Amino acid sequence: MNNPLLILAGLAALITGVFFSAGAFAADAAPKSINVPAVTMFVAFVALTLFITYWAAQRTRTAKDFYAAGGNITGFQNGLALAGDYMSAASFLGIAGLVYGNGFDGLIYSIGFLVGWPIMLFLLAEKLRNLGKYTFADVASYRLSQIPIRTVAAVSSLVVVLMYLIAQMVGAGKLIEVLFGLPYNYAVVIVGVLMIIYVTFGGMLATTWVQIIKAILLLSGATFMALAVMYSFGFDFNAMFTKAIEISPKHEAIMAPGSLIHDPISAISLGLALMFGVAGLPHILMRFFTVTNAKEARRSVFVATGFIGYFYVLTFIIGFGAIIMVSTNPAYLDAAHKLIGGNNMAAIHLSQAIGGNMFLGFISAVAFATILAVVSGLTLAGASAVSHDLYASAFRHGRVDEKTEMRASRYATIALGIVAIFLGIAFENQNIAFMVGLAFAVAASANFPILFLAIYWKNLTTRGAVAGGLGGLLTAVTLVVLSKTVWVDVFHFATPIVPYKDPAIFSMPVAFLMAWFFSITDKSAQATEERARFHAQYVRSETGIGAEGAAKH
Amino acid sequence: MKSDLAERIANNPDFKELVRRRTGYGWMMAALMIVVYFAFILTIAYFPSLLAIKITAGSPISWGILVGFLILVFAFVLTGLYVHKANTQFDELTDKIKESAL
Repeated sequence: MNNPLLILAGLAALITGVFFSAGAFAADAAPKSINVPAVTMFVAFVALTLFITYWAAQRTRTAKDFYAAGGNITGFQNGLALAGDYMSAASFLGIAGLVYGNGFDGLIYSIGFLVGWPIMLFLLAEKLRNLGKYTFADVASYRLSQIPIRTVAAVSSLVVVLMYLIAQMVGAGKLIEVLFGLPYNYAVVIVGVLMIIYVTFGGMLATTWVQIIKAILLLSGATFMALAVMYSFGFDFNAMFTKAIEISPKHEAIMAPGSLIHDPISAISLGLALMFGVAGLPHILMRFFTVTNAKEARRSVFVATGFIGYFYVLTFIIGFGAIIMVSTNPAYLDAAHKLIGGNNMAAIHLSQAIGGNMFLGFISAVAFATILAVVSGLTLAGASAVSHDLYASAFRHGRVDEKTEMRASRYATIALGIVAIFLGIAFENQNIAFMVGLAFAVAASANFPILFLAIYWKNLTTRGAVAGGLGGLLTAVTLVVLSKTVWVDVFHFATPIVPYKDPAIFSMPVAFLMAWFFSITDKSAQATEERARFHAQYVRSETGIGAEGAAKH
Repeated sequence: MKSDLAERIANNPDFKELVRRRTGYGWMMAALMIVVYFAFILTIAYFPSLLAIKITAGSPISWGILVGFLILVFAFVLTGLYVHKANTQFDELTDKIKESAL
């Protein structure tokens, strides 16, 4: 790592080379030619982000730089980066596709993905910033026993990160295959290698700026598409909806709840996972340690909520725009009158309908950039769980110097990246629809309860937190495995053992009840000490006195 | 944090005031968001036809779409209100506590 510039330049050349040679290959094999504007814009994005990584690498010297970008990100920047971390290609293409196919039902998901943010602000954001250093396990283990708490937190974080990562990798491979005419495995490797470079060399600083740039690109592209749709109806929503109702094969049904939510248990369960899952996603929580103080942490949630909410309004308009401008155009339909590439391609086809191949290229490149930004944040969070929580704190008992810990985090990044590439390839033809849902369910049932109780409940002890965290994690995973999404769709058994797709309504209470029971029955001397330490933690969490970074001023 | 400092801050009437007001406000806002969101979800589960009703006769827009958008706006407005209050009133109290403690 003595000369990162040379390495980066070499890798950039390699990737560009792979791209064009693969493109040429694909052009030979299939009549569909390579999308030149898309590849050009994507290569430009990669070049820019590699330059930023080089710039960030020179500024990443300490562990605080690596995990938290030195704690110098402003609230506004962090808000954009949070939005960039959160708005995945799945929420862009997936929700636009859902609106295209089902209308109103797409909005249900958008709302679910947004409402967790205010909850996080009101209950956790400031206290998290006041108590933590680099990972949310710092906060959970503040007054509890380091080794068991960090181990549990790291394990459930890794489950969340890997589920999310596999979903993104497989999505990326398929998307790039369609958009750029690049073979699936190449696409997965490119995404994996780029995210390893960003995170290993540039740490949190590079990841932050990749996410900020991606957020700006995605918001601009989506704004342009929504405006173009609205413009064609003279900015009259009534006219747009009337036309969509007329054209859609479902007619009036697209304006009302459809088949997405069938029974109340599933509805509440999904709602719980989405609402409390955001406050348990390790890659989101980690971003709160990049700002200087609680005030900036608050501001960043406000900015993120605004941009994410705005983005969901845009995807809704884009979905309706696609009903009108794409679903009737034979150029975008196959022989069976289905959308080429599936409903998730609705936004992509719409971009072509609006701005021709040039704009299609732009949106394709933005979709690729979106995936890169999200997987980088995930990889950094996973690597931090391994190096900061498992290695430095649990395995070496905190007796490890900064250089060694940073080296460990870089090795962890590379290892995690390679694992993600292999899993991405292994899961190519698997049904992975359950994975993001499971990630949210585990975040809501393991990470959120431990974090919430550690901050708010004096009587929580190490034994209770470990029992609650593991109980929530195992219940969520077991219920999902036994439900239709895995038991039938992946393992091909005839009937599911558990009738509900979403486990949160069961696994969240299990986590809270176990944490409560195993805490109040804990009469050990250690438990008494842990309860006694709550008072000082409480004062710091409320005021920020003694918080990381605050001492310098 | 040293326990005597923590003790001193905890006994500061300003600290008690800050915690009482912020905790009350934060939980009230969280409760509002939770109630509104689950009311929406439960309406979808139990009374979906209510959300299919048009907002005015002849309009293509249903209550479902209108309410859905209003919830997105509501979430944003709630965070804005909280951040405003926290950045002015709560931070003022926090600064006062820090000054007298340190």
